Amino acid sequence: MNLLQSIALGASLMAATSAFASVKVGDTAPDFTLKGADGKSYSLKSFAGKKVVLEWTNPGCPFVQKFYSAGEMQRLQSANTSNDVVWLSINSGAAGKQGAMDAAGASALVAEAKATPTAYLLDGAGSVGKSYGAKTTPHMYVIDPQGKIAYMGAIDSNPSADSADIKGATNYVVAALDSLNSGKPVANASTQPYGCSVKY
Amino acid sequence: MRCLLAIALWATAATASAQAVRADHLTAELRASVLSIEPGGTFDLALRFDHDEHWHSYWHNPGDTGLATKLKLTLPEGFSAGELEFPAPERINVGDLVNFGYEGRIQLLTSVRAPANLQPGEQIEIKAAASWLVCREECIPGRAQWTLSLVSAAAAEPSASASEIAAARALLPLQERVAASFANVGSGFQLTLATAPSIPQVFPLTQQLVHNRAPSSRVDGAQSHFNFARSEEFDALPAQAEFLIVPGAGRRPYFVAAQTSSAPIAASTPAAQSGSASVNLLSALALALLGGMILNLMPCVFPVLSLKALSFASLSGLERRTAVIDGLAYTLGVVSSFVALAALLLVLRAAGQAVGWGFQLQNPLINGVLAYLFFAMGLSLLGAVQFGSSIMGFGQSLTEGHGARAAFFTGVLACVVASPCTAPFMGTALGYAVTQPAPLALLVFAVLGFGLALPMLILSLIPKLSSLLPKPGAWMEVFKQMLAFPLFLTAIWLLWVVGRQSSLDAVALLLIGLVALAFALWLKDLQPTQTAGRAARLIGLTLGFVSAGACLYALTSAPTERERVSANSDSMPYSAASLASLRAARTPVLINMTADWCLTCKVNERVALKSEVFRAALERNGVQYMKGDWTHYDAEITEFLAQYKRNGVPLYVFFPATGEPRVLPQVLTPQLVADVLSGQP
Repeated sequence: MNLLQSIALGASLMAATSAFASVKVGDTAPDFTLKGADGKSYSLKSFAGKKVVLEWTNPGCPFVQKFYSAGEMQRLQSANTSNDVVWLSINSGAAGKQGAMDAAGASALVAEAKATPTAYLLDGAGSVGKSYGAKTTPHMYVIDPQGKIAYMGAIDSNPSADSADIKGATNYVVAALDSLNSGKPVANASTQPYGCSVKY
Repeated sequence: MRCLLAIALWATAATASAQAVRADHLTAELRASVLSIEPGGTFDLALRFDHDEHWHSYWHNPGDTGLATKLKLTLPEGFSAGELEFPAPERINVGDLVNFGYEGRIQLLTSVRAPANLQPGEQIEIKAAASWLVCREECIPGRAQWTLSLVSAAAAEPSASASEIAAARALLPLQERVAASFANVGSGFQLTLATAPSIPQVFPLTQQLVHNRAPSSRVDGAQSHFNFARSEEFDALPAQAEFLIVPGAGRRPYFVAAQTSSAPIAASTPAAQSGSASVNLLSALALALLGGMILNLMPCVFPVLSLKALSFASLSGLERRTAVIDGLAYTLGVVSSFVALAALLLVLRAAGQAVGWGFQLQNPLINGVLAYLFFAMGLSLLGAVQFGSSIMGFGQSLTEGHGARAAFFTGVLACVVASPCTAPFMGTALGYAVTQPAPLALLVFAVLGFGLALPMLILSLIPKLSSLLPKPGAWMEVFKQMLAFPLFLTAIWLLWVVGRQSSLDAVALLLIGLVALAFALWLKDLQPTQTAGRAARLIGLTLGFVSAGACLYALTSAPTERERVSANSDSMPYSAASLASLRAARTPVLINMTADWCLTCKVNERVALKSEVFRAALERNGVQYMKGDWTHYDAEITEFLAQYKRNGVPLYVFFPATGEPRVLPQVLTPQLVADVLSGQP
């Protein structure tokens, strides 16, 4: 009986696992096309030659709230987008799960949070999240102008859900972008992401 | 943002000891093991969580997502506290993600030391702030803070929680690190530990190193190997890899710390050790192909397939086209069965079962079914029973039947009969496969199946080759009958395996089942003319098959090897390395050096070391029982004997958790051993 249960459990896990891949630092970032909160389509290809930041997000997740309530994520977005960096916030929450949004909800959220990403993308099917192996919210990726993964992992060095801990932590995304700008190799190119699970 | 950071609760409580705080989805409580503190004394603070059903909090290493619980203490001058100690976690799967944490009730402990110059009667105030993350699928961070007011006294007075806290401490992992070996294998990693009576659970403490899924495990004599895939967040090899080992069966969990070496080692099979040091995908595929081809020659496969091969020799002209289709269908059957079996293996591993290749033979029921199959095929080859072509890919239809469907099932049968056999090179390839992502692993298995199918496929594709086969004739009937005997031997081997797995009773049951099966098969071919005869045949046939089935079914309730071992002997073989690692883990060990030819040894074992009193004493005191068999010369045991100035057996030595080992007398009684194990003089 135990064996049968395991098989049943395993089979369901297998079904869930099938599409889950992961990228590595130095890999070519998988291309994707997603609808944004503004109703337009965005594809990674169209940003070729630019540095791109991918931010996995979920408004219901306390670790995401840690950065938005303190205004830190908004600050990073505006500072970097004005510096010719493309910033894509991606919500991979499946319909009905915590934090999942439609375009109208997402655009209201972006306005209310005063967020300024290049685009807020909706990946309700989870296929883009799974192709990158995004596990947590936030889970950050930095893509260099050649389209290669330059950084993947946590947003900063202090795994906590408390806004007070932002100060004093090393922001790995900022560090990776700085290294790219100065032509140096990215130190800590892969870190352990922390946060809530992506609600696939 | 409509919804700002929701802090669960900020509670302040000031009492002598315990105060429960109800937060989102858990109740938190901080308790001290003492009411009064003695100067220089040590006591525990326990953070107790009662999680709501389905909600969990996290271990040191939370796994793919989550956050470890933290406790921050503000202590009076001169006090010092250790790290927050976590009990052994469990793997909690959320979709594809694996977390390490706890459900239900847990206690996290920290040990606090008071200064020696404490004045009796002094008020001691300890502030504690806990923060945690509690998740089901969604997560909520929580916090609470407490102020404990204790008093100092000449002698410590335990609190009401003391015994519960002491019980929790007795389950905590031992803090010191035990050495272990850790190395690259393929694109994954292998951790090697001394073999314990049951396969332990292994949790990575070091992050960004190994995948958080349960590793596959393989027991290789005194060593057990745990194979992990590489972490998706792997960056660089750390100097040290730390793991928590949870042996279960009442033994304390402990940590191992392994120096990592970037030099890869091959999965340890004899073939790999003599061959190249590293295995990559290409060489694994080559080994799998070679291993698959060699499988054709193994005693469980050869008799079945050689007849099929010979049947090609009799084909000509028009039949050749059929042969090509047969060959392709057969290949498809073999490859798809191997892939299906591999998929099942991967699924079980994903579900957290510690299985490796050959897992199907760990089940006595499957071995029983295979024994029936080999026996029935043997009877068929002998000509004792006839199988109609309706039984697909079996007996006559296997060797003489044609048609793509029959050929496909011949392929399935080839995979089934090949499963008890392992060919050289297979071990290396499969050892590599199980550390790989699913598509690569399945590819290796598919190639293995292709290797098995290849000789037959070539025969069917190249007609000229079959002219090299001996011409069919009367000798084939004799040859066919002769081939029954390796099949019978394979059946006996399977029965022996069942015997090792469960008991002599199980073997007897299976033998009765085989007789019932033979009886039914014999009856099947009888053609009585009278009605009464036909009715008797039908009844007999039903009885035969039903009893054969019942004997198999009864196997499922026979005790398994592991249960039997823990019920009876629960010993592990002596090795100096296992003894050293058990000693380092502070597990008390009783060593019995014995030999089959030593009468005193056998009498002692019969009288004292197999008694209920002894078994209970082992369990009660968490003692590991280790046996060294000196029946044949063994250098390690000889060396051990020499340490105690002996040159013969028996020798009984008890190593307490701490302190000097103790040599027991040469004549034992149950009570004497039980007393020694519980530490009485």
